Amino acid sequence: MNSEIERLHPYTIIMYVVAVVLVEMLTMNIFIIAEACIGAFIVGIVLMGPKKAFSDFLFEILLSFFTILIQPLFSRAGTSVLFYINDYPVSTEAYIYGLMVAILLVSIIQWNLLLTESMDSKKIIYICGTIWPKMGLTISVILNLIPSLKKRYQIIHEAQISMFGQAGGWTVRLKRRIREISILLSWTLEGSMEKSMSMEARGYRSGKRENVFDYKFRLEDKIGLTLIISLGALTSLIIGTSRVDMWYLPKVSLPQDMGHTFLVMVLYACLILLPLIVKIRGDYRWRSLNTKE
Amino acid sequence: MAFLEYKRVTYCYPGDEKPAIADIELKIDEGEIVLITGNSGSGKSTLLRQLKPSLIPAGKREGEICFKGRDIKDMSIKENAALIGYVTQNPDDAIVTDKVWHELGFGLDNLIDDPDEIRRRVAESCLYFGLTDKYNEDCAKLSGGQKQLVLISSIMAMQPKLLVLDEPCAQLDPIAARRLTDTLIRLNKELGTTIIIAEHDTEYMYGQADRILMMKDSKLVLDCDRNTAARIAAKDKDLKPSLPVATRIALACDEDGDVPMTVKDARVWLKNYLGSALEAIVEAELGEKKLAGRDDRPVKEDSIVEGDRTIRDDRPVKEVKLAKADKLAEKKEDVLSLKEVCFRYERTGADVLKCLDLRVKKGEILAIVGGNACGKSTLLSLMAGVKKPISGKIKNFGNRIVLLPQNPKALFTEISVEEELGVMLMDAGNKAADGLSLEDKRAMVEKLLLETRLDALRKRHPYDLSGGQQEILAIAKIMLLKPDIVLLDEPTKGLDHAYKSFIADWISRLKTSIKAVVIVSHDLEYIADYADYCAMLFDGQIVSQGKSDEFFASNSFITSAAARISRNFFSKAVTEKETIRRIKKYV
Repeated sequence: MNSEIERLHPYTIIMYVVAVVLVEMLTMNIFIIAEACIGAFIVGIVLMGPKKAFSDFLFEILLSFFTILIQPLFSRAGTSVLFYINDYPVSTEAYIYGLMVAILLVSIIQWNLLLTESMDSKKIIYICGTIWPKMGLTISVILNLIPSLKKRYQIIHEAQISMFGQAGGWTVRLKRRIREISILLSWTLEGSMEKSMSMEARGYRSGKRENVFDYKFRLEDKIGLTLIISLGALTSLIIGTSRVDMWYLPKVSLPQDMGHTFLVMVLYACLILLPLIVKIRGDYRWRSLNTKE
Repeated sequence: MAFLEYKRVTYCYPGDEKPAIADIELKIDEGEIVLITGNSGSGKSTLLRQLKPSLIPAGKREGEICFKGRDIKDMSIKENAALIGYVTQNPDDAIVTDKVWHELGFGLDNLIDDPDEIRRRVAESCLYFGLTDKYNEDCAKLSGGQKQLVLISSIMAMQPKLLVLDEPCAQLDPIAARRLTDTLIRLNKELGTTIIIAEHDTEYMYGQADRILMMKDSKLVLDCDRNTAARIAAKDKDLKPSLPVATRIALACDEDGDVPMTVKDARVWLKNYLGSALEAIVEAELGEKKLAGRDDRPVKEDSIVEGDRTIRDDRPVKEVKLAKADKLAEKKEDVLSLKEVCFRYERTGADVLKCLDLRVKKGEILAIVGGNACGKSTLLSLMAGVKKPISGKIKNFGNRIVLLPQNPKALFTEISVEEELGVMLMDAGNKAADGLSLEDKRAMVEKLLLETRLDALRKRHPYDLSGGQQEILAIAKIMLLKPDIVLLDEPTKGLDHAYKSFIADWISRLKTSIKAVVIVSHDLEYIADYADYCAMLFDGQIVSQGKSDEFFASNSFITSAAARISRNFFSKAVTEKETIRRIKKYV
């Protein structure tokens, strides 16, 4: 991930994503939702590179397809009917509604991808740690256990294959898998005794725990958070007070306050594209520093 | 007021009648390095765990343990953690957090409130132990030796006065073990930290320890300086294996002479001991080799010597330099062969094994040595047929090959020892058990229980067995599959001498019932004693192989201590027994 983004305080990053997704959730306006979706891709490409940004694309396409196709099963009240399946009317409105839902889902997936990429384990533990210190440690222990369990399972699985081979129907193989998991569990439970001894020997359980580190709240974070909160609040306010919503069934109706919709979209775009400002500023600074003699 | 004092300490685990440690009287001064040895079950771990009351179950304890005059029982957890550091033998399980920086600060987190202070101490400790380049690394990606170093660094950041280590090198390869021991000695010399360390393999620590303690059957039988301890222990067959090879060889030949503790001292001792007969002996032993123009280098079985260059070749050697025994060996059939085998884990990754050639012959014990993470375990998986090579051919000639992983816990599924053995015969995948009646199966299990001396432990849970007993049980399990070839991954890792020799003898006896045994091990002393053939794996290939005495005699670094001692004195004396025999032959 971009080093400029890495330097941001975890609160800033989380507030940004929460603000964007909340605004998206407030309305069923397809233009705003589409804007969030396209914005997710643009920010993703700029910050993570196209390969990473499109890594889930195939899944997203399939998901959208599926969502659009099954929508008529749930929404039967559309007026412009295309055809009938077993007495169920399949209408254009249903498909358009499905499209809106699909775009919403895809944008959530993309924003989630962006969030996980910009938050490394250190930041996640920091956020959990400030709310509940033991949770931070628990997450750290889990993050350590997962690769270790994977490695252990591999060893167990290979030993079983070497002893009993791989032949057999699916019931036999299922039984073997269950046996392997049971070995993994007992081995890990045994190891957990050692882990708890190692923790206690170093003074765990003796009192309150402190976080090992602190993130500094820099000027960038202060400006960033102000912008995020104000843009987010303003956008939400306009959405809440004007008639920006759209309906799809029985008839697709565009939002009544198009002017307000346009304003919301402009403000929302500003909110979404904030990371790009950070990146561009960072690139500019780097270039200007390196061209100095 | 002694730094640490045990006053008539006796401890019984809950439910046990017999005490785990009995009547221990011990005084340790500040700044000492104390080495504790003894077989497993002798009470070493129990003795050390008494210093950390939160680590032992609430059994019956008598006596007092005083640290700087204060009873340990009166210390709070925080105080105890700040003053006494404790390191266990299994770094994989002892590491708690996901990142190195988090692990380093773990202990301090519990003791201090000030994050700046924590950061300062962590930075200092990290610098001292040379972990700066690993600071942001995932703990899962570290090797065993690095993990132990991180743990010790995390404990030392708390600045304890006493560091207690319970077999810290048991799970490590020799190079990592040596590095760890050097670090501990450095800690003691530069910071004055008192170190108490329990170990089976005393090769590196013995010469540095100020005090030696030896435990036997829950009692402290020896407590003195290293010279005196060596003389006393050399006379006791249970305590003798705790001494370094150099000491054992010297005291076996000359009970009242000098006590060398390192290879260097042993060589000096040997030179003096052989005295004036030295020239003649060297001439007799190494003379013929010198005539051949090469000093100590063996003729490798698969090579043709041409002038000064040795070309590795698959064709059998036709040289007269081959001894008669080697010619007979050539005639032995292959039971497993690997030809130009390549393997990698990821499609875009580098090859782990590159065009590797290896042949396993009938009736032999082949040992494979190599550095840490060089692909030895991967090679075993390929040989067992569990993984398939990317290119090249592996021929098993119809033989049944079974692999025993490093950790015997990977095989245990039942709640008692006899059930563990029984379930092997009841599984449909075990072709060797086809057609056997229930009575036959029971008889097989009984026979094996007696042979492995696990008879008295038949109802015990496998996890309640000691490390050596678990290894024996695991080997017994795979023997019930009636394999043709057995592949053992580090069978003697972390075991004490009694179990090591039991398992080593048992594996040697296996040669009569199965076709071949392939062992991967770091334990060079064990390999020198028991393996017939050795091969070294390096950079994805077998770079040298030969009969084990030639292999060890020709290597300078990857060789047994006895070989290093007798190099340039005797020809091919690679084991302790052989070296003693040669010395006694001439003097």
